[in-house]
Amino acid sequence: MFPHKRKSEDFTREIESHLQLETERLQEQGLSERDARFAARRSFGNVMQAEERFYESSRWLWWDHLWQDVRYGLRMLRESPGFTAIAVLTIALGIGATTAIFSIIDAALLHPLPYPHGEQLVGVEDDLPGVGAQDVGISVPEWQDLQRSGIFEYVSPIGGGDVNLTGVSQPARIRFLSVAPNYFAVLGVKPQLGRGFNPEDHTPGFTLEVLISDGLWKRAFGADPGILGKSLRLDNDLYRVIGVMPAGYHDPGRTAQDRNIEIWAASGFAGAPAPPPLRSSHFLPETIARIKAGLSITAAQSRLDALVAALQKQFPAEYPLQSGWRIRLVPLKETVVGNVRQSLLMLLGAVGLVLLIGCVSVANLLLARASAREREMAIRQALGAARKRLISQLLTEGLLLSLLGASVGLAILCCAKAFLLQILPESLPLLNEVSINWAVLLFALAATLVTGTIFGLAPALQTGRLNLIPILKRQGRGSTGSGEQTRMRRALVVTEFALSLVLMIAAGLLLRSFADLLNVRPGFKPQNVMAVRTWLPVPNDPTTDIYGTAAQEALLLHEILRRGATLPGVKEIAIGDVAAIPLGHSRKDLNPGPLILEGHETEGEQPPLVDRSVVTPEYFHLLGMTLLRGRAFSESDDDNQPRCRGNQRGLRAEALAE
Amino acid sequence: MELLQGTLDLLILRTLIFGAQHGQGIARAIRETSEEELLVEHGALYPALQRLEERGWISAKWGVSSNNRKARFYTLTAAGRKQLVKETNKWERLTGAIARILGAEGEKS
Repeated sequence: MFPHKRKSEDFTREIESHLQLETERLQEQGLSERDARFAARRSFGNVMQAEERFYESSRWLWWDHLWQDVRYGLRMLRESPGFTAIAVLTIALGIGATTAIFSIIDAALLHPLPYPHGEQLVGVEDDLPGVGAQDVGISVPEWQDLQRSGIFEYVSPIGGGDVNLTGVSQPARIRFLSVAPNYFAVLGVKPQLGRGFNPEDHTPGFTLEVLISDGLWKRAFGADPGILGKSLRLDNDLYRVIGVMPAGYHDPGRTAQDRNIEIWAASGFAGAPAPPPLRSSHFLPETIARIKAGLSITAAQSRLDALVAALQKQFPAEYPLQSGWRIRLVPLKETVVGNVRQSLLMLLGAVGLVLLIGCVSVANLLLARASAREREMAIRQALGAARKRLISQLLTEGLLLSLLGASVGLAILCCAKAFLLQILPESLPLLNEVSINWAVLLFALAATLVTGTIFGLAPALQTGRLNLIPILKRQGRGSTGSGEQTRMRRALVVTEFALSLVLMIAAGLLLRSFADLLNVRPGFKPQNVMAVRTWLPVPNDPTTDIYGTAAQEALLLHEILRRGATLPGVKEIAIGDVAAIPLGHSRKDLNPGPLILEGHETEGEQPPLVDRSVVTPEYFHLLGMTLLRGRAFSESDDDNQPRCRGNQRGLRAEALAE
Repeated sequence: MELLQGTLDLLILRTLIFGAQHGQGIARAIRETSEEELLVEHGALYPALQRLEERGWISAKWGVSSNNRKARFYTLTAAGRKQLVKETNKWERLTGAIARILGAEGEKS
């Protein structure tokens, strides 16, 4: 609807031509040139106003104003480089840090499941609320009921653990997952090389085929393109590699270890070495499933409840009513991110606080600068500038500053991305790449706009309330500002200080806890002690286990001790079970047993439980543990003369409690 | 006498029926034809011309006047002609209605 935008010079020319024609006409009527000109102008009316109205009639006035403000703002920033540098760096820090944390939250919390239609993936948990048990695992017949129920596309139990990988260039202990053949069909992921397991495969035991991860393929096989068909040994059992999973693929596990699985083996969970598939043996620890398309999780759950009720009636012996057996569907997303969500959000809050502190600083700086420009604002208002226009200019300057700061912050983030990713803790459930994608950029933009508005408005709010006359009368160029301004600045300083104090106290407390942790005395001498862990293979067929009996194992251990003592650089060597490594084991490696002292009556029904471990005699000397009473073990203590020695503190406390 | 905005548009369109004219010429024509009754503030003419040009009822071009001065000439477009007819009808209906009311009152008194 506008053919061409008419230039205002064109309009001015037209007005001039009009005035000239009118002047000449009046001259023809007999007026002198001077009178004619005055008369022409008088009948025209206000020329300036006509020009202004023309200028303003174009719709893009706000755009013109915006450009004016931006150019003016840039000029002001260029004129005070020190102020600009400080403000830009402060904002860069605030927005950069906040965006960095948000990008992690985006990768970990917002889209945690990089599988197709991830919202259809659930974990299946058996609960027995009647006896207070949760997530007890499912049994094989239950698994088959779930598959036949028509609620799910695929259901796959997951088991697994660590195995010894041999038959490759370098033996290694790796984590493997034993899954149903339809596991990758549940997740919807295809291998990059070779083929996956056949989802219709119903072999009861292990199929002797494995899929390996991209990482393992590169490390152990040097990314050999002829990998398919090669064999390897897991705990001495022979398996064939049939496929390689894509690079960057992660399993939806709870822990970092569970997310970095390197080998998958398929099994029907019904053959050896699994126990016989009884309905009551809930030995399958975890199960995931993909709900049929079009079914919501709540709909699936209600259908599942109906199935559970029917099965309870059908098998009353295995599902006694008082146990209250229930099967619960949990969105897979929850299991992966559940325990990390709170910490990440708190971190976002902390970083947001840093941003807020930065905003307050910059607002303070801008306020100080605004009071120096008070005179300029007063003059402009006196000349007829609309207050809205002045405010919008100050706002534009604020937004400009904030945009500059954000750009610098994002630039630093991009450059430092590789370094920052390295310092992320392993336990973060990062199935996806942490990247600066659209969502993150949008967040950065929103943060920029909010911060820019905040510290653009601070001086703007003041400009509105200027009392013009006293300001104009003031002779000096600048001033520290009126009482109101000083109060606002003081309020800002106080706020900033308060916020910083909160952060500093929190950080200090964290540091102190950490320092305390470092100073705990372990009770033994860890210097120059190396802990070497080794696992004996557990083959699928127990009859082929070459370390099956204690005698066979003892032979191996003696040989290890003998050869180990001859290694150069080894002064002492001892063997113990996993629990013998002080502070080096997890809860589940402990083997607590009841302690029954001869001659002492046990209190109540249960004797006290103590943690035990089995060690060779050199253990105590090697670790420099002090002996309070009695003697250490010696070579002559063996199976024929069982001896036992206790941790002093624990036993004495027990004895004293008697 | 002050003019309503709509009536000014009508007068401009009507003036241009007689041929292309520049701004000063239009102002003069309105004054002369109304026998000095309607004295439009010339400055107020231009926003009206601008509006009419934006709506496509008149088109403009720089040209040379009768005494060899450069001036911007306005011409009525086809759409402008149609609009003139519409506006004239509206005006006649309005003035007719007012005249009837005034006439009726006159009868009473």
